[in-house]
Amino acid sequence: MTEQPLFAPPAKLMAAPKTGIERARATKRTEADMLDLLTARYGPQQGVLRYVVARHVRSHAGFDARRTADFVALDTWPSSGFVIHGHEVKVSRSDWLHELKQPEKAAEFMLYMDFWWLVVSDASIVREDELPDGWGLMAVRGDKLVALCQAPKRKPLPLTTTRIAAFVRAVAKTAGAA
Amino acid sequence: MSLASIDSIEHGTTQGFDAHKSRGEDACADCRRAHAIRTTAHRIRRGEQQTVRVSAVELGELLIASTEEVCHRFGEVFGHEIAAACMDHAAATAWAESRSA
Repeated sequence: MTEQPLFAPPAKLMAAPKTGIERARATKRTEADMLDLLTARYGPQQGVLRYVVARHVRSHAGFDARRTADFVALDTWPSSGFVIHGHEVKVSRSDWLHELKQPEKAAEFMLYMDFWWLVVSDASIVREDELPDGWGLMAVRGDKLVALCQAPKRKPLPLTTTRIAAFVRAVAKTAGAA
Repeated sequence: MSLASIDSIEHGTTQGFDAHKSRGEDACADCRRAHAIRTTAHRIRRGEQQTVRVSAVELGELLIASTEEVCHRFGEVFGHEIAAACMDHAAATAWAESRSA
């Protein structure tokens, strides 16, 4: 009879990477992972659908679309004033630094959003004082997406017809992919 | 009363609280806290107290560290928006503290 160990660690722990770089690679989140976390954050709670969400929302419906917002959530509760949350997802520091050099990318959408969020896979991606005015910040802690800095309420322009069409199409595509 | 007996109080414990009282002195903050915890626990066990107050930040930290299932259960009982708000507040507080450190 073979002697059984008193405690056998789970297989996934035994196979866990050992070095810091291996651990970082193993836990690195992709943009798709981040969009899944956003979907969960804005998803139905207790069967109540509050937010209508869309991934990869184009700025315009036609060929003149210039930019894409990573994630948009429309609050359908009248008591909230039907606010719209826009999100820019970043999973690496270099990606974020590139974004900082092109403020016009976010500006394409920010004008029409009540809240604008930077969503990062790790809080260390954004260094002190790098968060632009008017942006909120969400980051992953553990396995949850939390708001580190609340986005200030903006005074958005009303959505134009072409932007509504682009949003609705993205909602349909997102729902179809779910 | 000797200096040695004063020093022998184990602060932050219920025994420490009792020792303070037996000497006719005000208990220190740590011992008062230990006493309050013991008293509250007794009240709860006797069914005299049905609720407890917790800090939103502490609760948020607990929820962040807990499984999705626990968070979901908490949200069903107390409201998902409250669960999310507690986690956001805890994360924001920790983030602000890390930046000011």
